[in-house]
Amino acid sequence: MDVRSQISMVFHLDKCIGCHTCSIACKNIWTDRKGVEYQWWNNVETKPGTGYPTKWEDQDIYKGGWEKNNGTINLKGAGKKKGLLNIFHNPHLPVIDDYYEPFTYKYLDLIESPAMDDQPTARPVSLITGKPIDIKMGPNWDDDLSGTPDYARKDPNLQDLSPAEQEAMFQLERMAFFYLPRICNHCLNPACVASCPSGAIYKRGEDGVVLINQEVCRAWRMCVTACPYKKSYYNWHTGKSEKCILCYPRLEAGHAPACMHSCVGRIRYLGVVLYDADQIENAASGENDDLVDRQLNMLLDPFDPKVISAAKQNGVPDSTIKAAQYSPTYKFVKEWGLALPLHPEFRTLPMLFYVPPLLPVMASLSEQNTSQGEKMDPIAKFWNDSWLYDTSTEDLWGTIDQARFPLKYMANLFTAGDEEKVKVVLKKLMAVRIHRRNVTVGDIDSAKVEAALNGADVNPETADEIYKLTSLAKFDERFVIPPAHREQALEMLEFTCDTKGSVGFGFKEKPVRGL
Amino acid sequence: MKKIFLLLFLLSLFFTSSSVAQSSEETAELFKLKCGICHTIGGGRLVGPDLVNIQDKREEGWLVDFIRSSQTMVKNEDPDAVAIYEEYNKVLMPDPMISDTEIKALLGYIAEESGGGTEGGEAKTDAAPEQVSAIEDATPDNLENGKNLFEGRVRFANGGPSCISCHNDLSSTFFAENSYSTKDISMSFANLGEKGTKAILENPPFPVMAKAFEGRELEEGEVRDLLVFLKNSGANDAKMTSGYMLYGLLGAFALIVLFGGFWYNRKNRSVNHSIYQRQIKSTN
Repeated sequence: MDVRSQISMVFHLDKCIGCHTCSIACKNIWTDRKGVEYQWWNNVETKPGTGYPTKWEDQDIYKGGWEKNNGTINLKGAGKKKGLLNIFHNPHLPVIDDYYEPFTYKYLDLIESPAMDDQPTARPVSLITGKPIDIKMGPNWDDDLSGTPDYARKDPNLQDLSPAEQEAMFQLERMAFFYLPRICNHCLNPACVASCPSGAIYKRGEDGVVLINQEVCRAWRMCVTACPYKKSYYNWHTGKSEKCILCYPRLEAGHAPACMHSCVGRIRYLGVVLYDADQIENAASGENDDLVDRQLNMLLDPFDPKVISAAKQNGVPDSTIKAAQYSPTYKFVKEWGLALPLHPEFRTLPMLFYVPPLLPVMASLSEQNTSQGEKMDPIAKFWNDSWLYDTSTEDLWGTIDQARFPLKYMANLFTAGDEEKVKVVLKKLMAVRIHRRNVTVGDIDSAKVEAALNGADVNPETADEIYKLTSLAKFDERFVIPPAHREQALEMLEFTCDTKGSVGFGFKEKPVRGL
Repeated sequence: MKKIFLLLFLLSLFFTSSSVAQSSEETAELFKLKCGICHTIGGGRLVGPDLVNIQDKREEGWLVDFIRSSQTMVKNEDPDAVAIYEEYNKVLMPDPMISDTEIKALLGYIAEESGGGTEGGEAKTDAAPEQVSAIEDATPDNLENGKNLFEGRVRFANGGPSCISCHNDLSSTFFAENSYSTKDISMSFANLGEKGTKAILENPPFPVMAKAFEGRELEEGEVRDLLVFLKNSGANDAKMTSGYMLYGLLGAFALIVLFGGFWYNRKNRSVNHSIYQRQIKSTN
């Protein structure tokens, strides 16, 4: 057992309101420089939709991630042989048109334009060429556009759905969508790290954050191809690739990453998990229906004395182990089994987990509404038409089984196609809702509540805990950040054997002067 | 280039000063020096045309102009001059740097010699085939030696500069692709024939070459070996040239097909292409 620690995240999709505050927080801190305007280390996608860059999930196009090969796994689009064949031109790279041409407006024209008959306008200009352009696309161009032929219906996750099922998803008045916020998954088996010919990408030992060393990067862009989530981006100005750094400077100071800190819906959770690094290859090379289980099996119980002693042997500090015991991620993922990895079939073992949305609430058009015989209130609308949605159902799991989204769609996103696994999670979420409805409103038959909890295999205490962490959790409960052991970092600097007997003293840093 | 012009200028000074008075013997000598290397009178063509009865073919004024500077005429696109230039393998006749009086004397000499009538001409043409090829019984040693002489690995006995200091030879690997030479002479043997090439080697008509070999003439054996080498390299070049283009095109085509097959599934346009195509564009 090779126990290591990893900072891991949970995004609760039921709580995401799609406001893009996270994206803007990240943009303002990290990617408002020249050459990275198009990079959205954090982006929020509307699902069903094609995402950003367009159709990133379709690995027939982008060749990202790993593929299973004779019991082991190989990179789909990179590696020694494939790299050699494509050494002069990597054909699977996304081009700027797959993202979008970043733009701004000539706002100064609004102020400095001479007096004319017409109002001055601010023309859009490209942030790459500086010339006026026609804006063709944006990073969330399909925001809220479920049902559109160009975006929603081209969602790669619809592949296994029958045409009738797809049609049903996009019927007028029955259409639904949800949001999928994405950052780098800081995977346990990162394809970007494996693909880098320069060895510039590394996974930090202490917390598992995947970083690109800007001094070693040689612009091969193999990581851009290899990352199936397309979260490694190429900075055309510096000629280096960049990606989400999980705000490690903030983490080291005890702050939550900017996207999580600013989250309006408080959907984001961050905490340490302990995992067994010996199982990485086994977990990544499992069969498709086995991938999620194997990945979750890697995560170890931080209260198990064996795990604790193995962790200590590996140099995991006590404070980190303690943080792992309070980790909200561990609770959501392992204890409660509510969170699932995004696209486990890419086999990178992502360490960002999603609580799938309990969406959409099943609704049917009722017959002529007769329940409301008179106005409750003088200004209330009188519901006498047949356009009222009925969101209740006699059947306990009706909202799950007869969901407007086929379960298959959710399964394609989170469990490599296994509908049962998604169903288990959704049932638990539903049971918690029913239980809390009973506690706070009390209008549900207690037998029904018990049936719901039993059916989902959740006891009332756990349901209350889930409810608390989901709805009431304060900052320190959502983000359990282990202290950064800077004293160890200092010791590393004092350790001179790194340079003893080798050539030079590493890179020469120019002194920073003035502004 | 400056040096060449200077050299030409000096040479011209030398020649003009030396040719003041002309006796018929001197004219014969002048013909031998200036013209005889490349031209015969009734002896058949060497590098340039046979000059027998040349006055019957061309007007005297044109002849004088041409001899004075055929290069100027070719440059000015005189149709006859260009035709001759094309016919004789685009070998420019060096300007002999002699006065008009001397040119006229030379023309007189040519007329005199041709005037010997058809019999003299015929006699001389008959004599021509008697010349035996110097390189018929060439051995690989001759070829090797010629190559070494050409490339300067072996010095010329009289100290003349090696050929490669000015010329390249495509068939040779040495300096083949990055030559500093003034002229590629790989095809010279094929174009000029043995007689012409030999004449140039023995008594260079080109001012720079003449000056370079002045007093350092090539020896007979060296000329022979160089001829063998030049003949050989010319032959090789001829082989390479035929079908070279065709093979190149076929090869390129084959590669395109191969690459196309190999990377048939490469992503060659943006995934948003169809969306962009439909978008209305402003007219700027």
